[in-house]
Amino acid sequence: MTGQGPRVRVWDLPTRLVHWALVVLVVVAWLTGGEQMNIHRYAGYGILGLVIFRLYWGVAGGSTARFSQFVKGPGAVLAYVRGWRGAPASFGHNPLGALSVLLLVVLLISQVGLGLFAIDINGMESGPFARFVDFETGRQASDLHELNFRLLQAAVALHLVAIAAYAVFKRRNLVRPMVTGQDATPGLEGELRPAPLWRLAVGVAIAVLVVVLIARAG
Amino acid sequence: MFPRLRPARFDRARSGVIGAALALVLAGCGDQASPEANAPPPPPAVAERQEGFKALGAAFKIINDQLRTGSPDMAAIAPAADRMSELAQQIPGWFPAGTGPDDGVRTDALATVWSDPDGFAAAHTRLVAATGRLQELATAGDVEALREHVRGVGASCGGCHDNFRVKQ
Repeated sequence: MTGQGPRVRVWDLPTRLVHWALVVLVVVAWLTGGEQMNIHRYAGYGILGLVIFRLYWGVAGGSTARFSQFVKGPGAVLAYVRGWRGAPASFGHNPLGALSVLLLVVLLISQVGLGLFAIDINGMESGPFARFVDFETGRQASDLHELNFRLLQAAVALHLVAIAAYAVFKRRNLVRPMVTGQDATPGLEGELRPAPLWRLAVGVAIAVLVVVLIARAG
Repeated sequence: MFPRLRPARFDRARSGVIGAALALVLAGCGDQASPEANAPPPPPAVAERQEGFKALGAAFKIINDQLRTGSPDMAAIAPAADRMSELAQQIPGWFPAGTGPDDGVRTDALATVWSDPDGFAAAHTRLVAATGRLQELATAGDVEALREHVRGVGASCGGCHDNFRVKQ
């Protein structure tokens, strides 16, 4: 076991809340899909709001949440992968993990986007935008919603495997920092520059406004 | 007035169309799935029922879309309800012997359609009754009763989908 280093703040509270709220709502949406469609729809609206906020937080949030801070080019990703065993602990997302974040965000966006247009086979339940498309298009959106969810499941599985790999091969606990915000891995170099509170308020307002407008379109 | 019927691709998305499906996701529009050139052509009855159910769903969608608005347009609802009632009565003719999955036909209909004719007939009777009542309420222009009744119509669609069709 590696020892404990000093605790440093890595993830700001909004980033952590978005992460765990997504975990909860994606599971809720999974369990209610095709069964309890009212709950499913609200879970979808919640996920939409969280993703919108996360995109905003990716340009306006704390430093480790920003895409410009953690998304690296192919060269950096390749170098990280080649030297994975000996790579020093990354502060925030590592270059490979960044791709996983992007993948999850893209799959969540397409998942919600397809759900907005989806219609169930009985023609009874539908997303708020289904009235702008014909029945067959809505059915295709529904099929793709299902298919895209399999991809999302695979991406989540990969995410969990990666967390396990860091625990086993690098003795690094990635879960605790996502809960507490603080990382005690020795040798961490970096500093979280948090975003001011007003930026959080703006992000929440944008997300809520967009979700309400979309939900009311139905 | 009804959406045009496209070439049948009623079956669930299969791995073979994942690429096309993804392209569709990215394009965000269109519906050209890759033609499955190797599959034998399905019997005409299969295409007929696929188009029939799509038309049924399209008509029900017109009604539900209207009922979700503040002031539903009865001029749109009434003909759609007529169409649903008319189509619902045709359903038994869409499932002739020899067009089930046990006959080597690629279809989402389950073999139970033919092995449990009484159950299928009972489910059909419920749909015909539900769409008949829908037609009456649409003719009467009773919006509140319609809003209540479409739940029952949806359930009668589901009654058949649950037991006689491949699960979604």
